[in-house]
Amino acid sequence: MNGTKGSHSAYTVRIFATLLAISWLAGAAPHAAAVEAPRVGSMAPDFVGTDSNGKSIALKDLRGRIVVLEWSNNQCPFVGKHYRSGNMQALQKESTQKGIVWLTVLSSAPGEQGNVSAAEANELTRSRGAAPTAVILDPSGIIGRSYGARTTPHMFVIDKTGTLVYMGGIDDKPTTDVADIATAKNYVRLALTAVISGTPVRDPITRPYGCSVKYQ
Amino acid sequence: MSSSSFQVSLSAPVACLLLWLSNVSSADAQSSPNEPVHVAIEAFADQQSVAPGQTFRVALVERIQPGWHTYWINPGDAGQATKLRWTLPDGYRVAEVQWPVPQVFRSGPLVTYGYEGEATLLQNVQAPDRLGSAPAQLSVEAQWLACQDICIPEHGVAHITLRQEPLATLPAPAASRALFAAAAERLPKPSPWRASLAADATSVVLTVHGFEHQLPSLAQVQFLPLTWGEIDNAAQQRVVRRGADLLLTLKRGDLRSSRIGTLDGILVIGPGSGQLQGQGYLLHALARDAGAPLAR
Repeated sequence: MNGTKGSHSAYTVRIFATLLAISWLAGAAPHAAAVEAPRVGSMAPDFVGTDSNGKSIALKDLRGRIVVLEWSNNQCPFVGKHYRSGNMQALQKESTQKGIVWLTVLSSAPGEQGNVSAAEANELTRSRGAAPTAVILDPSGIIGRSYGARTTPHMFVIDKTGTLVYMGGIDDKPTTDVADIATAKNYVRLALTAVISGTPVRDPITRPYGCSVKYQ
Repeated sequence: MSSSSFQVSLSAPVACLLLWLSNVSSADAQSSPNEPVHVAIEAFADQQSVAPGQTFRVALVERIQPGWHTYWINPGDAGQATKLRWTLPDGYRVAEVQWPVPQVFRSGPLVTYGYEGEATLLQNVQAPDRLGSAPAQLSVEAQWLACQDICIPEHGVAHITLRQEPLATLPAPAASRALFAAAAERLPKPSPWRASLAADATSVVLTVHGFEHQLPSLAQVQFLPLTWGEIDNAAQQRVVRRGADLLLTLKRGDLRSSRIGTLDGILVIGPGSGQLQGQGYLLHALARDAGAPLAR
């Protein structure tokens, strides 16, 4: 988090000010910008991001659609587990076919593992047969920090009203072993099924597992 | 003929080596091709032979490459705890891992808990009342996540061979005894203090009752949670004294909307803190009356 970078737009200034306020409330030193987990049942933090095709995506514009946020880092072995197996791609396809907006967010800082160019992000989507609606490049980590994204993967589900209804792990088997996927309880699929049918999400907050998000 | 004598001369030292390895202990850490091994493992027992019904200790030692670390039972904001799976002779039973007090690693806005350098994971093993006559082979398959800035999942297998004796037992060699003694020193101690908690949606106030020690600085005191979700690992912890009590104000974690009935973790008292220096104490805090106001 950097004040000079943040001053370029009103949006990032606001985020920065919020982070400062959060740090102050938590009694933390101002330089140690915290990550603040949003609250399930409250409005999901708003953001405007730029995707790998240079398109601007504002969460506000997605009202009326269910939105999934997937934090990712293609070189993280936990992410690898879900892409090598085809698990993540299958869930992306299944979701987008139902009209759900799936945003993969990359918050690795420049020079850190998982930081890719827009072209590399598109190539990763192609070569892995991934099917997100868009890949948002967040090298400053602003979106990541506003969601308290800590791991790759770290998953969030937002309902049609913009309310956060799920945050946590992709499933309940915190390992890098592909064989565990078959017997895992996929919390994201369960949350999406519940949201679509208008029933409460049974496990709305679970432990995210994976590599740390490589913030600057 | 010359080829067979060659084989004999080769196999004798190999056999000796294998015999030596099986008598002491051995390890063969492996990882997938293309992945370097950042942690070497080895297994030990605190005695060389075992008698019927006896409880003894085993240790899995992780020797971690400089700059890398492995994880505590609660890895914190990311990572994965080391997992041990023992294969034991019939009737042998292994207890839970006793985890040494971890270090705290800060990386950007995230905090994880784990070990650098060397970590020894201790477990008690109980032998059955009836033992066979052949040596007992104990094998452990370990899986760990080695992280620097990046993370590599690795695994390995280590073995211990113990003689089974009807009565007397042979203690381990001095070097092994020193290893167990050092590992025991690094375990958290049972807390001499009672602990309680009061929580609202933003904070947990953890009270350590009757903490009469004078510490040069309360900044050296930190609470490390044993489980995920109750507290925010990265948030600063405010520590104050109130009479004979020590009060820690902890920011709540992802599970902030749920009631906290108990909070388990280690109270770590940092360096330069006199007789308590560098010690960890296992706290089990129970919620006080749910309606009570928070003491701040």
